[in-house]
Amino acid sequence: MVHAPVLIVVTLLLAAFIVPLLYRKLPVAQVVFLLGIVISSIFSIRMAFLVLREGTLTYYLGGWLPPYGIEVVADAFGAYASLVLALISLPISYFVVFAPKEVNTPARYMALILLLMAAMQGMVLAGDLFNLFVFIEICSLSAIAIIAVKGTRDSIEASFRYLVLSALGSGGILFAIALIFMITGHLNMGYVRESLAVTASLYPLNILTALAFIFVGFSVKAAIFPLHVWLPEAHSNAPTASSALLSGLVVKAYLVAFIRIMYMVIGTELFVALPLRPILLILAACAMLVGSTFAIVQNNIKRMLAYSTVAQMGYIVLGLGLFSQRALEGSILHILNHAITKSLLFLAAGVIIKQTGTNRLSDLKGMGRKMPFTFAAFTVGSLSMVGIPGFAGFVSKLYLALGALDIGQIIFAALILVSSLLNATYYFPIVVNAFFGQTEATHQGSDPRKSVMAPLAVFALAVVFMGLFPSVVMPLVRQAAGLLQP
Amino acid sequence: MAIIEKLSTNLYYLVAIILFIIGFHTMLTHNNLIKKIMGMNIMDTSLFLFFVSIGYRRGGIAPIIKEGIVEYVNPVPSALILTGIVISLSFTAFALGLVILLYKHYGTLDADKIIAMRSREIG
Amino acid sequence: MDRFLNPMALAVFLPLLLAVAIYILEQRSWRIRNGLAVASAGISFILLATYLGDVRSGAVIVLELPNVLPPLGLSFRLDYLSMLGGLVVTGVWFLVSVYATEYMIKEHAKKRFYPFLVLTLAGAVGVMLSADLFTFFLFFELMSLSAYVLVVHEESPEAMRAGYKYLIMTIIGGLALFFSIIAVYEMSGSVAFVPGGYLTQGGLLANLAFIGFLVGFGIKAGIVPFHVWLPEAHPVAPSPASALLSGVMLKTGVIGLIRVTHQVFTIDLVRNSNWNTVMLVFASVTIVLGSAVAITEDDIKRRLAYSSIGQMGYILLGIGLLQERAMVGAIFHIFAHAVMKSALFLTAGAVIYRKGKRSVKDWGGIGREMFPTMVVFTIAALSMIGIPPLIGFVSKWELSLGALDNRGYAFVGLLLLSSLMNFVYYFPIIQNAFFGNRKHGEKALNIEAAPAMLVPMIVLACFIVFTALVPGNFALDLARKAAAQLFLYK
Repeated sequence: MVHAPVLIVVTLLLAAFIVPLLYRKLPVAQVVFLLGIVISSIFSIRMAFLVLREGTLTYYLGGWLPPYGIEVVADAFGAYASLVLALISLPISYFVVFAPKEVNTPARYMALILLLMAAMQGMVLAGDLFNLFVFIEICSLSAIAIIAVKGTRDSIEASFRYLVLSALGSGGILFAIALIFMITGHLNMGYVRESLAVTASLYPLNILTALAFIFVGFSVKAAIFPLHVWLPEAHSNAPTASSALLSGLVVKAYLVAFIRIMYMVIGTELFVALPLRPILLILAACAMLVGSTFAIVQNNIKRMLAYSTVAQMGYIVLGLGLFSQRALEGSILHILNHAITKSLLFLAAGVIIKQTGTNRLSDLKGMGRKMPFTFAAFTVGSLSMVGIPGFAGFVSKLYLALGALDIGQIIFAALILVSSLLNATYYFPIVVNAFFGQTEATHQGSDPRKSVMAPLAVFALAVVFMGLFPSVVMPLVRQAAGLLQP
Repeated sequence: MAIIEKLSTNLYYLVAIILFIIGFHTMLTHNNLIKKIMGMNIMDTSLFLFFVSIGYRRGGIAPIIKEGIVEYVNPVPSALILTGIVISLSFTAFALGLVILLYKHYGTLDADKIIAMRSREIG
Repeated sequence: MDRFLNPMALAVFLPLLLAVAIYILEQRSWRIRNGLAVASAGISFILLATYLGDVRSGAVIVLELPNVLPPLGLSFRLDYLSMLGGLVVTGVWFLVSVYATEYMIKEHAKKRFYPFLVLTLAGAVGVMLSADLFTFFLFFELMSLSAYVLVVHEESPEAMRAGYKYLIMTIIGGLALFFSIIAVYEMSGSVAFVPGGYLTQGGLLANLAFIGFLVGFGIKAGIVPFHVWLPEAHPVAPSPASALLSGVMLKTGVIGLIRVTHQVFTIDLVRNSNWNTVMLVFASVTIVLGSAVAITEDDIKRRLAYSSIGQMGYILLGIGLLQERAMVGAIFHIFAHAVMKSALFLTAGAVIYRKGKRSVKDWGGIGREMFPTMVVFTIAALSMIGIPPLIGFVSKWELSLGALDNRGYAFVGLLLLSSLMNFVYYFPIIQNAFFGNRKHGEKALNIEAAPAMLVPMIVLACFIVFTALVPGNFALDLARKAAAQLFLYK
């Protein structure tokens, strides 16, 4: 039995327990923190290769077979999600350690990040519903905590609001799990699915109610329009690394869990039979338009990025709703591409705020000349968000648009274009004003030292690399999309 | 008559749903942050009740095999709910911690007042 | 690896690498920077020219990189059209780069100008040499976005405004192209440029795709009504950049249209869907409006920019006539207009550089003070008007013959009218420059442009004069062969 799937989570959890104990010896804690992330990432990468070569990996905790034992399933989709989590977390962890401290209790902060990573990895690999729920809860709690850990008034208020809505979402998900358990008597995803094939038609009310609660519960967690209201405040008031993690990974981890339940547990047949696809499509369209529109009017750089996340989640949901092979590939690819790009943008924004002391976009005029590298990184991210060819965001848009045309939905292909234009109207002025124009910079600031810039450089290169050579991950993406659409 | 019978057999579910709605309502509509947390707890509890009652058999006992007893309670929900209670507890503790911090910063527990204070500062 | 070591791949990718190299090396010395900037265009030109013989004898050189950006991949090809386009781009670019090394001395932010100049070159070369729509699009966007930096170079409020307009229009154009390309891919499963075209089926998606192409390429080529960015963006850029924007970059749009109407859609489809009529209407409006507005402009660079719009109308007319002779005129005009308009912008730049006079009313007597410069201007202007035997005449001649073959007498009239209007807005400048008087109280200043600026202008003037005179006119030859190839499959 390959232990990689479970070791990913175990390593992170172990590190999460050790790090706070070392709070007096911060350098040691930092080493443990980085080691935890790096080792689990290595397992994750190894697992991705194994899955690609040999197909789905399953792991039975303690050797107990399902339906009694706990199962960890690493299929192509889970392995892909785990890989995304691992790869994105590496530069961010580096940033946490080497960037100037925004948090007074760094050891606790690192422990929370480890916990969050463990929860997310567990969430995408869990093979039964209740473990999924437990990981969701750990993830929620630690995600809220890495916002509140900043300690400012705004961050605490934002995290409290996040907590309330998150608790609502958790309640909904647990309720749905109870309903599913009620009619199937199983929690293991595979068994639930088999059982549902028979029982779903016997208890249509139960399954409909469960679907509704799952939908709402995960909508809140993954910030699917219109339940995204908590996101802008939460993501913009968090410490820099937290913002990157939240926008880059956390919402996507929830979405992955949502996709898994919807497509692999409830099953595609039911999913197609019910009018869920039109609902997803409409919500995605609204998210793309409304998210971008709100982003345009923001003057706070991080809040703008947060609203942009709402819009970008719309892209992913759009692909799920379109449901053609290529659209699903686009969605799944966008999970990675958006994670890279948004992490880059949030880190750059964090550096900009730290160095200039202002978070207002209107104050950033002319700052590009003072901090050329930071703004160059921001520019790369912007180009990717707008979907300029040669950058990561373009590739996912290409697949999504092709997917839309595959099923004759010209209108949604056009929607992607309109949304790209909207993206351009709020990303490009920042870049243009930073580098060009005669206005003198009103704030002091300069590029930070190289060790802080390194994660930005890594992400920026990754954006370009993914823009030119998406074929690196496409085999895995294609397999994952194939799983969703039997 | 039939409806009453139906209600009485599904009494636990009914109560759970009512509790859920009460909790949900409290959480969303009350301005007092402590009451919000109480609402959260009520909602969680209702879910525990719901979950446990799925596994409950009238007259059943804990699933330890004994002579002459045929009715056992399904132990899985109960076991799961133990975990659920722990999660709910940690959520509550964490939320209360946040409330204390909010009170320190704003001097009030009223969500509306906090929003008003913030918007005044921004405006 | 050997795929990257052939001259054609180098011609495309070398500027890309050199742009980075220039950015890194320019801290060391401005000489290296200027040298590399000039060399990048020059080397590309020579590399492409090595293929000239092969291509003229009918060879098609292909380079494919399917692993970049699947599912579509990158591919490049040298045929008659891309040979002509590539030589025009790199040749003009080389001359303008030489000119820029002198002109830009007065300017600020040269650190930014040169890398982006070369990056734009990389985009333009890639566009010309691409063998499929997707590669075309990739380099098209690279070129358009890099050129933004050239447009806003001055950073004055007007430049920023013009730049913003340019940026938004570029993005809209890019998105329109993006839509059309995926629509083509959806309909046919291919985006390659295939001689004769492969899309034979009309319908909603095909119509939308064509509209997308027309908008996308029309914005780049400055076709009315998509031209609104052009008369603002071209004048505010530094003169070498204006020369490239007007002389070279506009052409990428029409090259795209030629490729699309002949090598993606079939000619029959274009004709049956009446897209050629649409193009002719746009072309007529563009010719008349561009020339008419040019008459009213006093700022020399704005006048030249509007003149460019009118000239792009000629090329669109040649495409829209769907007729081999007219296509020869259109393709030859790509070369001719690139040379003429660059010469005009360079001379205008030289005058502005030396005298600071942008309004043509102030140009009195300049012909006597900057004699060689104004001679070049005169030659280019006469060519624009269409005086034989200059190259402007050749393209108009071919266009008119093509129109006559189609019984399009109205279009011949249109061409004559346009020539007349060209005369109206160019001739007074020449007359004023040579025979007019300086403004009252102004002293004569006989300062000719520096050699680095003068030589490129004179070279361009030689092209204008001698291309049509010497036997074996390579540009016309290539244009004929390209047009013949395009119409081979009708």
